[in-house]
Order: sequence, then C-alpha cells, then structure tokens
Amino acid sequence: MKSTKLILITALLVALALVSPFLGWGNDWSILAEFRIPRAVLAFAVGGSLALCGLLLQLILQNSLCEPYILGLPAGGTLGYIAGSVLRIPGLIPGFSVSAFLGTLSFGAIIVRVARRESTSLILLTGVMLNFVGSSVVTLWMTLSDPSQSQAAIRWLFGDLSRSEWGPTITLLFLGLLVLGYFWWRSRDLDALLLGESTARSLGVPVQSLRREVLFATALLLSISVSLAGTIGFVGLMIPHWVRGMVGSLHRRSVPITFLWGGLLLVIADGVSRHLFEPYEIPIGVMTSFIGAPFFIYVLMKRRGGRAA
Amino acid sequence: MSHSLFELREVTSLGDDRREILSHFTLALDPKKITILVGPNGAGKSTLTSVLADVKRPHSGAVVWKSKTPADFSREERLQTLGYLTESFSIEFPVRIQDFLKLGLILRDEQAAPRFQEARAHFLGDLDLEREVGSLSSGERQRANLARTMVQRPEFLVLDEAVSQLDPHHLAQAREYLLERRRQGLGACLVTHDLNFGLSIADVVVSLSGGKLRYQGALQDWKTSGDLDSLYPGAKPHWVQDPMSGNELLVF
Repeated sequence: MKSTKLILITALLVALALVSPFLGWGNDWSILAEFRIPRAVLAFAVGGSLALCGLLLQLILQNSLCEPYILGLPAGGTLGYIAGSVLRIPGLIPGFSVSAFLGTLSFGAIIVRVARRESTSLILLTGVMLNFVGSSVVTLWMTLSDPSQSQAAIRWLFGDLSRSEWGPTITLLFLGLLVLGYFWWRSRDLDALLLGESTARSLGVPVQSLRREVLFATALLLSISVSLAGTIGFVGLMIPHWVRGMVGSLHRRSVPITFLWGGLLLVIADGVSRHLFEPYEIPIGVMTSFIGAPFFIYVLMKRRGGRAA
Repeated sequence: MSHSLFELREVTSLGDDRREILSHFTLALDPKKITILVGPNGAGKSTLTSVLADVKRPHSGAVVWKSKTPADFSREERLQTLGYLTESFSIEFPVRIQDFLKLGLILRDEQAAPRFQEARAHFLGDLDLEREVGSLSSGERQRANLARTMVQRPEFLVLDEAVSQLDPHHLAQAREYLLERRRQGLGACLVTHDLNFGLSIADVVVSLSGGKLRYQGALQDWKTSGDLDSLYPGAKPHWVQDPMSGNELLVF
C-alpha cells in the first residue's frame, strides 16, 4: 500500500514538473529549448542536491532542524566565489569553483566542530553568524563593484535559476547523481547512524570518516549550486522531513527519493514563481523561504513538544 | 584460554577537561562469564565499558579482543563478537521498532526471522512493532535495545546501566536472557547500581574507584574480601537473607 502511494506522489510530481516549463507567456519552441528546458533541468539538479545535502547533514549532525542554508554553508560558498572572482582563480570544470568549494567546506567544518560539543541552539546560532558574514561580504562587494554587478549579488542572496547553461548544469546533475549513488551504496552505515554516534561506532561504522565524506560531498554540491543558482533556502529542511514521514528513515529509500522529490519540487516551485505575478518573477529563494521559514518554526515547536513529553 | 579474553592493557582515558578518568588500567574479562562492575559514581565504570567496546578511543594503552585489536575485525566479525548498550539513547529521526531491531546489522533473511520471533517474545510482547522508537518510554526503549542485541546475538555483551528503567517483570526477563546466554557460553560485562540484580547473575566482580582497579575475583570471594566495606564511603553495607528465596541480599 505504501509503495502505491509513493508511486502516485512521484507520478503527480513528475506530471507537474513536466508542465512547469510551459507556464507563462510565449511558449514557442525556441523559448522552451533555449531557456525553459535548461532552466528546468538546472532547477532539478539544484533541488535534488540541496535536498540530499539536507538529509545527509541532518544525519551527521544528529539534528533534524539542520539544513544547508540555516547552517550558513551557502554563505561560505558565496564568500569563496566572490574571493575567487576577485582573485581570478580559475575553475577546473564548468560550474565548479575551487574557492567556492573551499569556502563551503570550511564553513561546514566549523559547523561540524561546533556540533560535536554544543546544543542545537548553538549550532543554529553559529549558522546565523556565518550567514551574517556571508551577506556582509556580498554587501561590501556590491558597494565596491560597479552597478552592473549588483544584479549578480541579488541573485546570490535570493536565489535565481534564470541564468542556466548546459555545461555547469550537467556537471551538477552528474555529481549529484554520483553522490546519491555513493550514499545509497553506504545506506547500511547511514542507517546505523540513526541510532546515534556511539551505538553506530559499536556496530563498527567508521563514523568519523563517514562524517568527512558527507562534509566533502555536500561542500561539492552546495558550492556548485551556489555558483549556479545562488542561495535557495529550506529545500534541504522540508524535503527530507517530508520524505522521512512518507517512507521512513531507512536510507535505501530515503536517499534516492529525497533527491528525486527535491528536484521535482524545485522545478514546480520555479514554474510557479515565474508565473504567479507575471510579468514579474519572484526570486526562487524568496519563494522557498516564504514556505520554509514557517515550516522550520513548526518543526521546532513539534520537536520541543516531543522532548517535553 | 587467554586467547579468547577481552582485555584492557594499561589503558589511560581522559575526560573532556583532560582529567584522567582511567589511569593505567589493566583488566581481562572471560567472555563466557558474567562480570559485574561496581564502584561509586565517577569511578570510571562507563568510560571503562565504552573503551572496552571500542566506542571511545583511549588516550594510551590498548584494547584487545581475543588477542586482536578491534580494528582487525571485519564488520561482520565485529557484530558477532561484541554488543554494546548504554542506559539511554535519543533517536532524532522517525524509526519503526521493526526497523530499529536490525539497523546496522548484517543478517540473512533466514537468520533474521527466528531471532525476531525470539526478541519479540522476550521483550516486546505488548508493543506494536509499527510504532516509532521515539514515542517509547525510557523503559520501553531499554527493552527495544535489549531486543536488538537478541537479533544481533554477539558473543559478548557490554551493558552500561542498560536495565535501569525496566519494570520488575522485564527485569526478570532480562535476567533470564543473560543467564540463558551464559548457559550457551555467551558472557557479559555489566555496570549497574542495582547491585542485587547484578550480584544475582554475576560470576565475577570487578570493583573500581578513582579510575583504578580495586578488586577482581569470583563473586563468593568478593563477598568475604572486605572490599565492599570501603567501596562506597559513608554507606554501611550488610547482607541479609531473603526469607522467601533464601538468597542473600545486599542492604545499605
């Protein structure tokens, strides 16, 4: 019965995602081929990556409130990206910026370090502070550079899927699927981590190296997502919650479904954000935060209720 | 004989504040026997069990399982060799009891089914296996955890206050479970402040205080050794005979 439900939801999401590029004015083939379809593929790759990163980060930090955006990881990517373009550090493959990767990785390392000793509230506060660092650097950069660049800055702050190019998009999609495949293969280890760190250790799971692998993989995907589409919040919070609620926490199922649903939902959300106030386009990050922030508060309150009971 | 022991050799373990919790601690446990660890709060009992289970790395010294280091065990061998339970655990994510029982284990279906039956009959009789572990009470969680070791079925169990929240019925079930394991040659090492429970199943007593070994020996020898008289400063332990069962009980 559960599988039927799963297939139905996925089919519905696929149908909506397929309709999404056709939303809006001017549906001739050239617009679709040149703008809408690459944009939808980018939205899928970004959505899937963000959702999967959220799932993995929640697991290694043992905290279901964690999410890349809340933890300030994209801020690290933004910081690195700006540093890279100012210093003209070349990327190795399309869409990949070494400095954005290192920025994300170092912010991630700070969070993991804090999480080892401190409580949820301190982890989240650290994330808030990292976000402050990121946004102040973007603002500084906006102030110092010429006005034509401020559009790009807004894009980082609020997320933007409109500047899609095939090369970087395919890179992200490919790496996203690679990360998915790897952690699907390691799903037994991830499952053991559901029992908490010390029990997982006693079952022989190499917790420390697993944590490093997650950190590395999420930094990779997040840095590319940020370079391509800016900061899109809360996808990594909402999708894993929803998927765990539907299919349970076991990773053989939750890893691929999180990526799939995350991708499809961002394609749909992008269609809606383009179409809702046409001809104006709502930045996708504004849209996801609009839904995601209340959702965060809901999860927070539910969690506290659960703890008290 | 010595090739099958679980050992700590000259282990020193430090707390977060770099204070020595165990200092140059050497201990060898017989895997076919039940050993109870006793000592006052802060003696280092929990640290000892977590180091023994290879969950916490010691600052110096070595942990030896059956004359190998734990790192030399493959995942599957390790699961068959040692199981470790603590007093409580928090579970952040929704996991059903039936999934919880096999998380992280490597089991073939034909192995799993009978073990599941047994675990259910012993500890989970009244629980719906579809329920989420997060919704269980602390005692029910301890039962689910013990049931998980029944599915894992390791040679040696390390239990750190893992039965502290059980009701009398399930405490009796836990006693029966540990004694049945011992009859099959599968031992355990347990930390418990319920000394009458621990002493009713123990073959060997290990006492420690201040991170140092005080006494290790057979239960009967320990009772007459006088170790207990000074183990818990300020407490006045004495033995009384239970008129119903005739067993000796410890009263403070």
